[in-house]
Amino acid sequence: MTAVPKPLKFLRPHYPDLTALYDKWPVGELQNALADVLSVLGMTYADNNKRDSLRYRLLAPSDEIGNWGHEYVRHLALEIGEEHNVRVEKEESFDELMGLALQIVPFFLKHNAEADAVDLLLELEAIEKLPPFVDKDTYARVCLYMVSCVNLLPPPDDMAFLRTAYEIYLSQGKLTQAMALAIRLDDHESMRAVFSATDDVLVHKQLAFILARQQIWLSLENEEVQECLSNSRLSEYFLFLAKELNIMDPKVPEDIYKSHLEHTRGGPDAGQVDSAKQNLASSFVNSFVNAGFGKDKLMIVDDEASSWVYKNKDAGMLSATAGIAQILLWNVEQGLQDLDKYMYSSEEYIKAGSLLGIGIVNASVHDESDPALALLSEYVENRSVPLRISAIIGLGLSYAGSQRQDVFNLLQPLIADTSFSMQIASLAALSLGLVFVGSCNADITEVILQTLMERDETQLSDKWGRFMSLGLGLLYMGKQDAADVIIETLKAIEHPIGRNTNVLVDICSYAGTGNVLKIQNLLHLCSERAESEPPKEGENASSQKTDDLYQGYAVLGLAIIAMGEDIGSEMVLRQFGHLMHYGEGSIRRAVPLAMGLISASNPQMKVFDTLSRYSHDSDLDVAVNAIFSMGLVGAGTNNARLAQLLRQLASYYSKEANSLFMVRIAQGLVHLGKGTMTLSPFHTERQILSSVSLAGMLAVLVSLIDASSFVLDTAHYLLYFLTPSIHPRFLITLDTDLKPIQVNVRVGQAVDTVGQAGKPKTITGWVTHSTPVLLGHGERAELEDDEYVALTSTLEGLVILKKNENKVEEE
Amino acid sequence: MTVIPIVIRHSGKKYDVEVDLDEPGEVLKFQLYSLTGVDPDRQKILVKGGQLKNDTDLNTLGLKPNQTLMMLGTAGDLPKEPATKMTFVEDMTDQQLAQTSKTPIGLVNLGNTCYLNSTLQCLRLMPELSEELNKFETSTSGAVAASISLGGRSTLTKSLRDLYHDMKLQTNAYFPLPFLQTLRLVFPQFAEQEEGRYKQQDAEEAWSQILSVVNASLKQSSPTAQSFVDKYMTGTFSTSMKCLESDVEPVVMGSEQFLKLDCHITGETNFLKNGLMASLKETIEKNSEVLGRNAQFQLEKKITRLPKYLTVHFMRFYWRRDTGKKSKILRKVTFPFELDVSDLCEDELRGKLINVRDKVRELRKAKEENVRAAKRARTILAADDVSEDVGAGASAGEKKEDEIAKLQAEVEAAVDPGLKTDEGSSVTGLYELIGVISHQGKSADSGHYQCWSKLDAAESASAATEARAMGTAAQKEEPKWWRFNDDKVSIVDQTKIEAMAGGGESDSALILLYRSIEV
Repeated sequence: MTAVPKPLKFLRPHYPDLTALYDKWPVGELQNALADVLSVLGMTYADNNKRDSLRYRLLAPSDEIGNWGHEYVRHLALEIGEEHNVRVEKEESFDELMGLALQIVPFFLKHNAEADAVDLLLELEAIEKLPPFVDKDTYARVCLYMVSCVNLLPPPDDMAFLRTAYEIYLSQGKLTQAMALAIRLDDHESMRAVFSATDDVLVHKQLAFILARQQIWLSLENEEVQECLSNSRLSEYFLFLAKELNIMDPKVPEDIYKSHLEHTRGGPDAGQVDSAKQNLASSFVNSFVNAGFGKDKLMIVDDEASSWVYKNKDAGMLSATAGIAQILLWNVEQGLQDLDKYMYSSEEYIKAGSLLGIGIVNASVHDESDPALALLSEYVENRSVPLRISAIIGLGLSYAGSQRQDVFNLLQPLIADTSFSMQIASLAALSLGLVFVGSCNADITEVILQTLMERDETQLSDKWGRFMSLGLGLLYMGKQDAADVIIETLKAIEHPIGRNTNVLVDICSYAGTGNVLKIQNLLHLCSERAESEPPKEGENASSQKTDDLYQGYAVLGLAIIAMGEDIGSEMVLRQFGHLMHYGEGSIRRAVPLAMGLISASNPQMKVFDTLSRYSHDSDLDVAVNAIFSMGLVGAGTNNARLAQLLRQLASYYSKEANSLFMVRIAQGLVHLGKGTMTLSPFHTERQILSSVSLAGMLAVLVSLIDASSFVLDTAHYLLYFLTPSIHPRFLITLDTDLKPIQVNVRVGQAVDTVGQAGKPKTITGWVTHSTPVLLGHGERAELEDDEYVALTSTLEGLVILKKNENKVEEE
Repeated sequence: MTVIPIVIRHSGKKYDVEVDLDEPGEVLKFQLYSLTGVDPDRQKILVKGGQLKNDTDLNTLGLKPNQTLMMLGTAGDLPKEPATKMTFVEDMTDQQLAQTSKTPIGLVNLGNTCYLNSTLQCLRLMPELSEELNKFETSTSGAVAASISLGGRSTLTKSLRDLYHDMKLQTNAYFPLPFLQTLRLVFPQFAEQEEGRYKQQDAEEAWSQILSVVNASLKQSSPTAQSFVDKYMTGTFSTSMKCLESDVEPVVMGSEQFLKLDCHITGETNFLKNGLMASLKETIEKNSEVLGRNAQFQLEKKITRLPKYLTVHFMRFYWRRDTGKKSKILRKVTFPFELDVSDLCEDELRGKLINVRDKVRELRKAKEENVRAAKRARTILAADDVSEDVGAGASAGEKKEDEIAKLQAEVEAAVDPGLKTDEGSSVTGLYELIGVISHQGKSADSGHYQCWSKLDAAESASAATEARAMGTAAQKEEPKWWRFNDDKVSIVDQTKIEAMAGGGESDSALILLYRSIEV
């Protein structure tokens, strides 16, 4: 009661009498004035749940609400919220409450209480009424607060918040921020609206760069803008970065393994005879490490006969050839040219590899001549299984997120026709899922559901069936309750695959939302088996393996759902420890993978220490997955500690071919793109979840739950599903002609400035670099001086700079 | 006829082409052939909805002027596949693997059998033994009676032969179960149990017993009645027994064969040589005929024949009455990696040896100098390019070559002809250490045995180059050693062997296997 004038304080004991008096007084100005006073006094009687303040305020409407002070207004807001709940319950009208609230909101906004304003409207479920009250001074803080709330809100409030914030940004002309939110809304109309909000081509280009990062395909009128959107110069910019950082020299796997630092050595005969498995691992390492650089020492050589491709065996040749594409990632023209030679190979696997490569080289890049479709479509119907599979996967990789109808037409028959093997049908479903990720496409949904119902038991039990389920799940990525119908339908399928699919669809649809209820559900699923386990023991091991798959998915789901939000992911990390203790089978195999996923390309000590412990698990499947996850956690970071841990593992597992293979893969991942890339599905200040990235990773992780039948067997090419998730973690500044320019930027750890007063620093512990620079996890950059202005608010990826015309000249 | 200009992208270059829309696609392909040199059959031109075919009607494509098309294809030959297919570890059988692998395999411990494992590994260091064992098979196939008469002994020899044979064909540690069973059958003392488990045994005992059996059975099958053991491992002493208490008592001369030299360890023994000397000059108590009572005699032994393989046994174990155990003397006794035994020999033999030995040393010195000179020449070459110096260095090197060749000849000439004809004897009296059986622990009945063997020069060199290739500081090229710890086989540095001189409970050498240095 500090803000209340003294006389009112003395009136307090007389409050009951005064309220009685009010009723006796005749209606009039005087009565209103009394109501005014009573409303303020009522604040002190707040504990009796009568909401007197509000009652008298409503009896005496006043325009000058702020006169009684800030504290009073906040109290009113509180009572409005309570009253609203009561009235909603009684189904009464609350228009007058709304009227009062809309009076209070401008007051809050004016007095640095944006959070209160937003909260009030949230309680009244009327956040969409906010935009008119926001002006150029307040919008930034309002939006920042709103956006940071989104993860904590239950649907549909979260979408309403995004929508409102989007509208505020749009009305304030902050188009890049608006675009970021439009992406989160996943609404193509809103994206177009952002484009049409300005005629500035440069801004259009910047917006296109943002969309390109998310791999959203729109068709735009301006060709130059379309070129930015198609990412076609990504390779060029990446090579520019590589030259500036002086890392163009190709690396060989041995540079990564550094086996002279491994403790046990095989003795003089080590390396006498090549092991196909380890050569394959080297193929992967080589392609991961030199990814995007277009140069290597093993595969792209003048004399093809000595190419490393031939140092692989059978299916290994497939992956090795596809590795060439990985090295030439994003460089469509050169990549296709180099792969073309192998298309004529008499070795079926090499040919298949080049097909897969065509898909890889086109990943995240859209070329106007549509090479992937032109070259791959004829192989979809080929009689050779490897060629066919490669073409299917290739299409999925190159058109990920594009929602191209012609890809659908090509692949749909493969799923629908039950005479095709599960492998082909499932991979087609997965590829379509990748292409139509998050689209809720009804046609594909129907086809997949139908095949799940029509195919017989043995086919559904096939190990490849899981990709069918995943394909369905990907369609609903991030769409939340849009998947409810599907989930209900899936319950009708009696085969265990129904349940597995159910969980997959569920976790995909809530990806990145941090939805607590979902997490609880999933934890519940994980605890299920402990009771129902004993009677199952009579069954054979293989059916057991597919039966408890849904629990593995549930564990992955914990990560997928929680990863959108920091506190949630912290908590989930702790849950994983429990699951590891008490869980069995696929739960234990999935836990390391989930840990890797939740901190992909974010090497936190506590995560990889735990993983390194799991990497010595007595269950080799768990160990292998933990090793892979160590790679995932450090992907593209060159993290020295991880590299050392992996070297130790390499000596520890020197006799264990499969584990060693995975150690090598992990080493390759840690040095992905020589440490210039990231697998993290989040971008633009960790705001936007790239569904394509997540989908690609999910495909790999789902296969790894049963690593020994896929990646460690002959289906190692599944690892290339990581390709669409690979993105450079650079910041390149471009001038108005889209040529790279060097400016000084400060790079530091991002600070959370939500709700802070004044103009707080957004980064801490910064270091000045000149662009291009690499941004680590949780780092943020800002321009050092005001010579240029950036067209986007977040300095990440490709940023267009304009000369600052209002530059303050220093004396 | 409509002709429009289009742009063709091909491997990073752009070509401007005038295309006639009324002609079929083939014509365009030939146009591009003349520009890029890519065979029309291998051209892939990407147009909307797929690839341009030879009979595609260009009018249907809706080409716009200056539209860019992409063409794929490479001029020239297709990539050749390597002529030979790679062979991978995964393709090979265990036997093939074992042949390519140079790492010797370990033997699995079957319960306190490390004494046996290390003995077997050490015996295996003598290739001549395996060879002779292989011959053993053919000659005994009919001689069943003989084997019976030997009381199962030939079974032991056979099983040793099989053991070594099988070890060559495996990559994983071998289970020496058949051999162990035979051994326990033939020598029940090795089957002694304590608290339900087989007891640890003395490796030296196993060594001697196995050798004695092998010797006996090989002798039988050999036409010359001389076995490997006789030829390569047995030496001869001349003995002289002199009574210390009476001059009248005649000095009894004699000769005696030995399989091993003992190294007695007393309070003063610090070096292997001390111990060897002490064991060759003993004082024993014996009945003297002249004096008619027991008297002190001095027994002196001198070597008259040196075998190729010389076994030295550290007498570390002794029976301690107070504890009732075979205890171990932990005293540190250093042993050389190169042993010169000429001073233990009889004068006559020594005369023959010294000459050769000195020449060998001279030769070695010359070789070392040569290497050093070559190195110096190389550094000079790197430092400045004065051709004169280089020429001088090179000629110096050549001169040395001659000198070495001459010395080599001298050494060969110096070898005593008598020794040369004696197969399996040493001609230099110089020995290098090739194998060690070590024991860790306090008493013979406990602790752990391991075998250590020197890598031969080639292996050692490849290990060294590997180390250098991996960028580790090029250390002094020290020989490396294999360490056979039951089933685990690894490579260790020579310092580890030096450390086995004793002085503590950690690994200390028990049996040393020396091999004579050849000329």
